[in-house]
Amino acid sequence: MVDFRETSTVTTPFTEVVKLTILQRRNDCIEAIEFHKKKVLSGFDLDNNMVKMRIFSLWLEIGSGFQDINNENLGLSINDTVDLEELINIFEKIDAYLYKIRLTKIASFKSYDTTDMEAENEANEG
Amino acid sequence: MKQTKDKRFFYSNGLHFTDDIKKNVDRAIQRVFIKGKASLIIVDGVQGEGKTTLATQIAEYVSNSQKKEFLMDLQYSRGGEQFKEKLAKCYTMKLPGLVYDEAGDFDRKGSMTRYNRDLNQVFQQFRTFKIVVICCLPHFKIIDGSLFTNGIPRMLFHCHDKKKKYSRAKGYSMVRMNKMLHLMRRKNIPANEIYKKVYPNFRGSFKDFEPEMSKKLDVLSSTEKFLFLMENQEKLTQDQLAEKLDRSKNWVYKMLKKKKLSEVLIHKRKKFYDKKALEKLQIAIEKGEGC
Repeated sequence: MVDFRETSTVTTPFTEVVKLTILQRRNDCIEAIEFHKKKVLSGFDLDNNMVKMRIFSLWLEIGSGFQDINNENLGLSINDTVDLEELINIFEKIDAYLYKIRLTKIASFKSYDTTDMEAENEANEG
Repeated sequence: MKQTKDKRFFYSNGLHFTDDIKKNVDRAIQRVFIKGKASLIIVDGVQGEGKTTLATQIAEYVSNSQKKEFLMDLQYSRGGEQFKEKLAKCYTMKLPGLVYDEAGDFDRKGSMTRYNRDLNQVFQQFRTFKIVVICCLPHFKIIDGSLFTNGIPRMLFHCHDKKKKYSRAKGYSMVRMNKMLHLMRRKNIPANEIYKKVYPNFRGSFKDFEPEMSKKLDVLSSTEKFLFLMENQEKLTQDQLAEKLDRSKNWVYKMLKKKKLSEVLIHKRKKFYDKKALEKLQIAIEKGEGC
């Protein structure tokens, strides 16, 4: 059991647990958008409350960090938005932030011209 | 009218080698002359694949890129002793490129010898000389490991598959050289097989020098080889006698004439003397003759 009052836990570091919960919330958002679009394409008339609440939960998780870097409060705009496309735009903004803080950036290779031997040496130094 | 270069000896870029080789040599020049760091280019391959030709072509290109004339007599050295001597000369004359041919004497087996320690020190300090050194070897693995630790050998050109009109070269970065060394050590892959296991950065080719230049290089290269052979057979030139006896060349010349000692062999206008001449001159020194 993770004790969030402690800065470290016995098995998993606290930061890792927070990272996992954020990623879980992001995944929930994607699933909600997928479900909503699937139903709409099948001819159902759905409101987008589920998508809205999932994105809002994600915002609650990362909001303070996002405001620190981007100086923008998305919480209010999530509440005011009714259109699905606008909600997806907001989600994309949050996703870009997650990529920026290297939470979803998984490709870590360096790109360089392989025929340039010195470039390869420099890329692998240090 | 614009003069076009002979297609038998030059590519469309006006050089003896292809653009990939040019691009990488440019990067080495940039590293040495702009960043002020050391850069050693290794050219390896088995006998007769064109190592010396490519190395000399690179040295010529380096000189031309720095708007200097390529002086083959000064910018070509064989063996460690001559390399050290010519490095100093190139530094004083501000010549930007130097070929270190037959660098097999600088190997890891002899790394504990004083000679190798001196040479190692030269390599570690040659960053300050601002000279691009091109080193010719049968295989890059014989280079002393401490150079790799210091990151001095930056690129390797492996010469192979020589044809009548051109020869091929593969380029390997320092990273790939380290990978090859690791594979040879850990997986016991033979030295000559390793080039098939690691993919090169690029494949290029180079053509031979023009007949005039080729002949000059051949004379320089073969004369040095012949001198070495003669020294091993204890046949010495007047210069070598002077060096061994610690006397001036003029003294040796006069003494040989005085003692009526004749040469045993003449090769390309150089006179070779046998062991007896050396012994007689040593006796003359002991007696204090000609001092």
